Amino acid sequence: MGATAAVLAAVGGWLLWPEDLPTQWPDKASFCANASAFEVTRQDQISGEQRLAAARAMEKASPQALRDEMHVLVDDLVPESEPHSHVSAEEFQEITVKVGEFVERACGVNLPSIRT
Amino acid sequence: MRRTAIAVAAAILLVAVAASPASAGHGNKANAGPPDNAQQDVQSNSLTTGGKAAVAQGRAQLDRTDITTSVGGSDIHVYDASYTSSWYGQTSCTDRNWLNGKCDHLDVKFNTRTMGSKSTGYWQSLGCHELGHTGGLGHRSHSSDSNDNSCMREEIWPKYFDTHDIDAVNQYV
Repeated sequence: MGATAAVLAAVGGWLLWPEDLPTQWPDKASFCANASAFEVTRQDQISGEQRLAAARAMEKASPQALRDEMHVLVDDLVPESEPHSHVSAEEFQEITVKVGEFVERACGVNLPSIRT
Repeated sequence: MRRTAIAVAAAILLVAVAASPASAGHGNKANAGPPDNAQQDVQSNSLTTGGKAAVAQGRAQLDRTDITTSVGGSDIHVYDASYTSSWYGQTSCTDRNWLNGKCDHLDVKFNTRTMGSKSTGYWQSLGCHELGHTGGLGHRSHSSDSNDNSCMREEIWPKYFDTHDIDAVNQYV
């Protein structure tokens, strides 16, 4: 039963993987290590500064195809006093879901309010 | 289309094989990040008289900040019931943005088992406290509230936000 579920999970994960995003890239280890800062059980401990630092590190280590989305996420965390761009609430939500789902599938990190 | 159909079929099969019963736990601490915006809908769900007084006081205090509250179901859901626990109230974020930690949906629960015999003033303090959590406020202590006038204290029962609380909420939204 457990083996069947594992196989189905692997097949399902491959089928649902975004076609423009890689499963492997050179800085994956760094990307995933920083993504783990946002894991669901760590949400109450992480400060705003730590969120920004982790997101900036993720942007640097992200796959090229995800750089624009990561830049939007970093800008959401940048203090109002610093230069940054804005996107609509709907676009921000779409990007957090896209990146969040990628993080869960690529890194195995459990993020709040992301279902994969 | 074919890939989507295969994916859906695989997902259904996976759920059928691997699904386990859902479970839920009740803690006794606030687990709420700051709200995701300054417009907060509040939905009261068949509340007792005490629960209604609590919500009214909590909304009035949030309305002293940059948050504007209104009646509606999209943000804060409030319940009261006899929960088999020792806590008076509980606030939890049920839909948190993983990146910034802000909450889109929050549940507030008042425990009629522990609050049932208390007067309206206590309910109002509890409402101020729990809805304060929905504004992103944490607990205060005497060392940071020496004049004992913040409802975010745990061991006393003030009914209002103090200026520190208001400033803190306004920083979040």
